[in-house]
Amino acid sequence: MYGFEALTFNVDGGYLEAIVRGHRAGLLTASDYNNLCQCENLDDIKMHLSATEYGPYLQNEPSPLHTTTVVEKCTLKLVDEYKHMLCQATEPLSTFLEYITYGHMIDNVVLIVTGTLHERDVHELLEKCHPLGMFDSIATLAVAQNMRELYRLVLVDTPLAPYFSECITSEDLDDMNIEIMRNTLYKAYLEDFYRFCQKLGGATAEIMSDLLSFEADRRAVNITINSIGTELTRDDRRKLYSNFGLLYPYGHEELAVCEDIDQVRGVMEKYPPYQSIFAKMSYGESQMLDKAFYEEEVKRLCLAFEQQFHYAVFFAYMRLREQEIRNLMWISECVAQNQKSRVHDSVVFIF
Amino acid sequence: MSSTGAYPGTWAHALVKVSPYTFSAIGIAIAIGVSVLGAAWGIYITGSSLIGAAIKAPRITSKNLISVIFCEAVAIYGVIVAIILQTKLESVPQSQIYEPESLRAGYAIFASGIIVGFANLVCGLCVGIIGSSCALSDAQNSTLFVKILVIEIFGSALGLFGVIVGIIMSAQATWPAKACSSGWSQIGDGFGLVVLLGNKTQMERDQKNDLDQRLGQRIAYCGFVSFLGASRMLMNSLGLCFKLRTEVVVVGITGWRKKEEEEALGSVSLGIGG
Repeated sequence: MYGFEALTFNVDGGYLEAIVRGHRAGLLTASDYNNLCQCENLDDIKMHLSATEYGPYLQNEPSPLHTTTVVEKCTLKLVDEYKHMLCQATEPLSTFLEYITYGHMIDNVVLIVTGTLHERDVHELLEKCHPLGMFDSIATLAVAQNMRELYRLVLVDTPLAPYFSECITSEDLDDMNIEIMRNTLYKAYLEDFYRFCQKLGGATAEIMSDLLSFEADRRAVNITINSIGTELTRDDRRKLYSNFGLLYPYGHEELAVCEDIDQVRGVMEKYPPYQSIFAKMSYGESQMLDKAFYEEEVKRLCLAFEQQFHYAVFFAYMRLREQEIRNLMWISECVAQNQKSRVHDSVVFIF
Repeated sequence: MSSTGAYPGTWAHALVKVSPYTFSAIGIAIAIGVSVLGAAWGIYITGSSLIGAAIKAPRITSKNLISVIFCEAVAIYGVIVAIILQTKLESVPQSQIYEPESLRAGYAIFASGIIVGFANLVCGLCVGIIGSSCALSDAQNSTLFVKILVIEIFGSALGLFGVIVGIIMSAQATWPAKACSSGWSQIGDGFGLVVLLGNKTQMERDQKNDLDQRLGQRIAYCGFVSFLGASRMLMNSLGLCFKLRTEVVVVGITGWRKKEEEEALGSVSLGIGG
């Protein structure tokens, strides 16, 4: 019954909710970002980060620091926190936490398959995979030649197995098909996650449906924009859109026939929540769209913390932490390449 | 026909034939049992959040034990009232067990027990939920602690209301004096009954039995009305409890976000200038 979760939530989830809120308090603040943006080189960044919660992870790194090392160690911190929470969690929170990582699993699968297609070494690819999305038989992905083998050899044992029913074909894997496969998998994953949250009910269902709808709509817009001018047909494009969200079903109909960005803007401006995003960009400009979407996402994720006794705080924390790692990566790259004027192009502050 | 006059074979008759000792004992059990349930529920709600929040912010542990103490107070109220109620229990002779005044005393103790038990149940829940929010807010921003504590104090007053009304109810629990079965010491003045001791003719006894019957029904009715009034008061306090929960979280988080925004505005202006 919605409204009475306060009575029983703390039995299983009270401790972990308090822990995740403590982690959230350790996210970098605006003053930290200010200090980082004014650094001269990566050693300065390491020094500033050692005063934050990233300290223990970075302090043992030898001095010529690379941006990839910084990002890797920060991700390691996120993975440690996640694994700690996953150990402590009981059902249904443990299933919820696992759902959060399936997106990374999909990305890892696509990374390895693409890399194999371009004749890269499997071990090199494994190092680039996101640690949250690792599973046991991931190295075997390099052997597969088409999707049916991919499924039969490797993926049938992973949690991604049920998402494959829509995209098993016998076609060989090439770049286009891999992207279609990625988007089909992600669509199935989002719909499954949405159904799971609806089954949980209460505040979790309400807040997660808002966050997942935004994700689905954002992906729909990105798919549309990225497939303008490619050989993806309208029907194929429509098949990649998720079947929930603010844009479903009428927005999807309109997006499927869009041929340039101004038409996309025209469609999106009919929806008030997205009108504000597109209003920030002047006509013809699309580079800022990513940053505008990230800002809107961060705003919604922070709002998830306003309510107590639900699971969406875990999802929101993981996403906010990933955004922070993206910020750190951007700042490190700008500092390492001496382009500090462009730092504020892509850093999204989390308040 | 019994002295309270319900016809044998009806539910009303079964109800008035339940011994007033049963009602009293159940009332005392509910007073302590349900109060302790409320206190325990509140303590685990607040305690699990407190433990988790104290990992990142160890300074909150000593101050936030106040929330646990408020919940504990609820259990103590229950114990006190149960002890008071059990001193009100007296033995009456077999012939007087179903007298209207015995039933009234039994119902009074029962109602008092229910009042205290359920008021303490919701009070314990209320204080526990607020205490959990208090611990989490304090971990983020220590100026919020005292503000949310004020809300918790209002919440703990709910249990006190229950105790006060319960004690007033229990003062009504006067068992009949040990006299012969046809004797009454005094009845409610609104009925204007004159009590006569000694031998009566059969007709006069029948007449008195009829009047007793109506009086007894009215007294049984009063007992139930007071029970309903008490449960309505509990519903109000339940609503107040949940209203307070949402207000707590809103006040707490609004205060914290305002502070973050002020900090951010200050540093952004520094960034532009510098």
